[in-house]
Amino acid sequence: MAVGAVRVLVAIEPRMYQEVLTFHIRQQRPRSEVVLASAQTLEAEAKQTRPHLILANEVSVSLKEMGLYWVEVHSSDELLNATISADGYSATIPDVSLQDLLAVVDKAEEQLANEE
Amino acid sequence: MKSDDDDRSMEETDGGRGQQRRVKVLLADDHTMFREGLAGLLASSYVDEVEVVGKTNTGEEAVALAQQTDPDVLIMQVDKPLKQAKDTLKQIREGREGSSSTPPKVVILTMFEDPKLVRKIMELGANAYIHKSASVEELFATVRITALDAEGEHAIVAMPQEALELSEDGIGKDGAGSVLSRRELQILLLTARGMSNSKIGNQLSITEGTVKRHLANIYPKMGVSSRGKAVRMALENEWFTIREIEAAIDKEEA
Repeated sequence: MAVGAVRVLVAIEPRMYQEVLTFHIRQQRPRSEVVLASAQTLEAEAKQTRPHLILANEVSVSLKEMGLYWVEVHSSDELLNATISADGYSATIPDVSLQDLLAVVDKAEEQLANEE
Repeated sequence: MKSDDDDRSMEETDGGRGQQRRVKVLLADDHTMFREGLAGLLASSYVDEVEVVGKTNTGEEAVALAQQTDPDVLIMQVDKPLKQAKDTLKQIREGREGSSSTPPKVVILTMFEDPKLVRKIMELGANAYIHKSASVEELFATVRITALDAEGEHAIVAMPQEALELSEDGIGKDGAGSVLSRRELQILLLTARGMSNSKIGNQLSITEGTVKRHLANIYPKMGVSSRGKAVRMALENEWFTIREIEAAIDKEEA
C-alpha cells in the first residue's frame, strides 16, 4: 500500500538557509511535500496544512502540543544547533548537518507509514 | 595593467565553442548544514556555471585551500569580532604574493546589517557583502558579477531594505538596534519589565528554554554579561524607552 507524503513545514530564517534546506529535502526526499512559511506565518500555516514535521527557528508551545515532530534550529557560539523532538524523545544536536535534518524527515515518514 | 589571469573568468572558452569557464568557488562558513547544503545546491543547480573547489569551517583552512585550489571567488562568512576575518583576508592576499595568479575575489556572507560593519568589512578588501536574508539566486548573481569584475572596481552590497534606514550608530528609525533581531528586542523589552524567563515564555508562547537561549545570544551580541547591563545599554541607545516599558506593564495590568 502506498504511503502518504510526509508534509514538512519549513520556516527557517534567514532566507538563504531556508532555500538551501528546502532544495535538499525536495531533491533527496522527493516523496515529501514541502511547505514554506515565515516566522510570522508559521502558526497559521501549521494550523492550515497540518504538517507532520516543522523545521523552524522557534516553535510555539501550542504547536509543540499538536503532537507533531518538530525541529528548532538556532545559532549559538558560532555553531548552528538543533533541538529535535520526534516520536516522544527530544535531543539537542550541536553543529547540525543536512543529514541530521533529513534523518528527521525519514523518522516522520516512518511514523506516518506506521500510522497508515 | 591587467595580468593574463585578470580576464580568465570570461575569456577562456571550452574548446573554442564560446562557452564560459565555470567560476571556481571556495566556501568558508561555520554552519555545517548551510555550508554542505549550499555547496551541494551550487554544484547541482549551477553545474555549468560554478565549480565548488573546496569548503571549510575555519579561516585557517580557507587560506590553505585558497593556495591549493586557486579559486576565482571565496565566499566567506564573517562573525564579530572582525579580527579573524581580517587575518584571513590578509593571509589570502599575502598567500598569492609571488605567484602568477591573482587573489580570489571575496564575497562576504553575514547576518549583520550594521552599516558601520559593512564599511569595516569592505575596507578589509572584500568585493561584496551579502546578507543571508538574500536568496541563493542573488548570491549566485553576485558571484558571477564579482568574478567578471577583473579590476575589482565595484563593490556589491545586498542587505535588507530596512537596514538602509539605520543610522551610523546602528539605530533604526523605530528605535530598534540593528544588532538584535526583532524577537530578541521583544524579549529584552519584557526583561526590562522585570519578567522572569518563565513569564516571558508564557507571554510569547514559547518555552522558558527558548527564552534562555535568546538571552544567551543577546548578551554576546551586545557585549554584556547580565540582564541589567543589557537593559541599561538598550535604554542608553534608545532601542526602547522607559515609557514603552511602563506602557507594556500598564497594558498587562489592564
